[in-house]
Amino acid sequence: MIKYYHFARIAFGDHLNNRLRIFTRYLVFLLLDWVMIAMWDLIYKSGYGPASIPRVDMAWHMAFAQMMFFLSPRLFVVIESDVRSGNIGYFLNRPIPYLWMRLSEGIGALLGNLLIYYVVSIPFIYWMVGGWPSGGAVAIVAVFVGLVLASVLHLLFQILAGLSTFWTNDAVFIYHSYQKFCLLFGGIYVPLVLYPSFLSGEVLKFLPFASLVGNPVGLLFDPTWSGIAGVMALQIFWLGFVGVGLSMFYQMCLRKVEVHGG
Amino acid sequence: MAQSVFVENLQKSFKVRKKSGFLKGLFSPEYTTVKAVDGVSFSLEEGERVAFVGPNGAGKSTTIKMLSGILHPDGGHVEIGGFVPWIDRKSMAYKIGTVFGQRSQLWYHLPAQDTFELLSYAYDMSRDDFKSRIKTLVDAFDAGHIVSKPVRQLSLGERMRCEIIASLLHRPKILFLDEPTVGLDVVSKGVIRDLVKKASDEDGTTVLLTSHDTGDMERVCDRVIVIDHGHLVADKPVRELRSGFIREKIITLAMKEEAIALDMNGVRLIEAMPHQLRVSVDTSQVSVEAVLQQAMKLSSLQDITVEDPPMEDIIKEIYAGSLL
Repeated sequence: MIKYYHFARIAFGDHLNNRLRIFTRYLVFLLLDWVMIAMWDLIYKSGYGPASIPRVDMAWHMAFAQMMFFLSPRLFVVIESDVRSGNIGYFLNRPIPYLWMRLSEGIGALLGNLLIYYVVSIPFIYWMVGGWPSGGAVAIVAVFVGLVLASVLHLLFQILAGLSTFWTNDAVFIYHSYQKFCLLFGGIYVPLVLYPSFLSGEVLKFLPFASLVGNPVGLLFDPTWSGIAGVMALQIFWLGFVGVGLSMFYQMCLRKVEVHGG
Repeated sequence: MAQSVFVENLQKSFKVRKKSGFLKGLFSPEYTTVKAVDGVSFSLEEGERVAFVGPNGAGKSTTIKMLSGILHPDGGHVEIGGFVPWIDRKSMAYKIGTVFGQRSQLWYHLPAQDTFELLSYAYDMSRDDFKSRIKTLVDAFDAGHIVSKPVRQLSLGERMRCEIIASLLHRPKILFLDEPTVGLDVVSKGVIRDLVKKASDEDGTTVLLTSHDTGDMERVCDRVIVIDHGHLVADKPVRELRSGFIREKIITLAMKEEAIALDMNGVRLIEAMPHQLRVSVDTSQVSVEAVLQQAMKLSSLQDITVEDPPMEDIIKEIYAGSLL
């Protein structure tokens, strides 16, 4: 495990070295938050806001839901590039599996983002929302922990998308399809509890897309120990399930490695 | 001496998709099979330095990629230090080092020393071992002033020195070098060749090197394996190749006189320009010394360059079969 820690450590440093990229992404995140918070503000002011969710909770929900997709590095792009260029082959003769090496690097960069987004975002979101969530600090901490697990799950899905390049030669449309599923079934723009009856939130919350966004961010509305335990148990299940699936998929990919040239 | 590399009847083909119409390509694509390596067999003793040469597309890089565990072969048997590369990839990784001239194993935005440290963890080196090893290598490669610079700021020659340090860090028994001097200037090429040879001499590392450059072959290796169209064409000591295959020298003369006529057996005119003459000398018929003496008699020489013919020409001569 120690070698994976060092890969994550170096990636952490490398990620924080690229300040322009971090600043640009953070700026986009704040703009998106501002738009979403302003939109729900308008809905509540016009009297159409859901009575079951206070305005501040909805605003914090929107801010955290957007944050999930900004926390993880764009790992699928790196893997797609490795596969398309054949670079992936050159990592195979090292005593560390490519799959877990890239995941360690992704987690290293994720930690760098967590440091920035968690520390810097709170005052910004508070300033934009104009109040704390009704669940208080416990709710925020619960969401933070839930988002860490969600981000690791998101990294696993990104690796899957990246490795699909072996068959599709293009990971972007796979990743975009995955994102659209998250958008539809993950509770990004509308909390899962508000989903219409034909898309029952009670069923959707068991899907991996909800474990990525809707469930951990939904802890804002239910920051109880049982709620937190339920969300995290489901996340851990999906982490294990996708992790095992990914390992098997990776073995199939290894047979497809073709490196030309020279 | 024990065998370090054993290759028997190695084969590898690639499927290349044929161009066809949109619908045909979608529902019934057709492929042609290109045999990149077709029944190659050879072996290397421990500590041997062997050049693996051939023209573009000959299959040398594909072979080295199969030997280093990057590619799965379609057939044949390979043992590298007792391991089958595509099966015992992880165990074999500790025994081999690889340098691919056109690929980098260094982190682009970070100093090379960070990559060295990372690799030392990947290869399970103890801290004391890593520190002493990196000191030895950095001193030997005179790289003290470059390892702390971000890799993106290094010249190609400096980067290549760091690449070789990275590949030697864990004391590999076998070093695979795929065109390590490609794109380098003459001075950097010389430095890299000397360093590889020195490292091999000191640690007894077996070296398998692919290159288009005869200098790499002559300055580093003791033996040459020639491959073409996936077949092994020749396997000779470098000395034999030099005296047997490289019978031709190219002489370029710069002189005060506008033109001279060098009519000698074994001398063929390549190019004549005012005050300059370029000839090919067949050393089996006439020595370079004799040609130069004759040239000095006929003119006031200002500059002389003696070169080996291009590698492609030597390879062509070997393929012709007249020298095998």
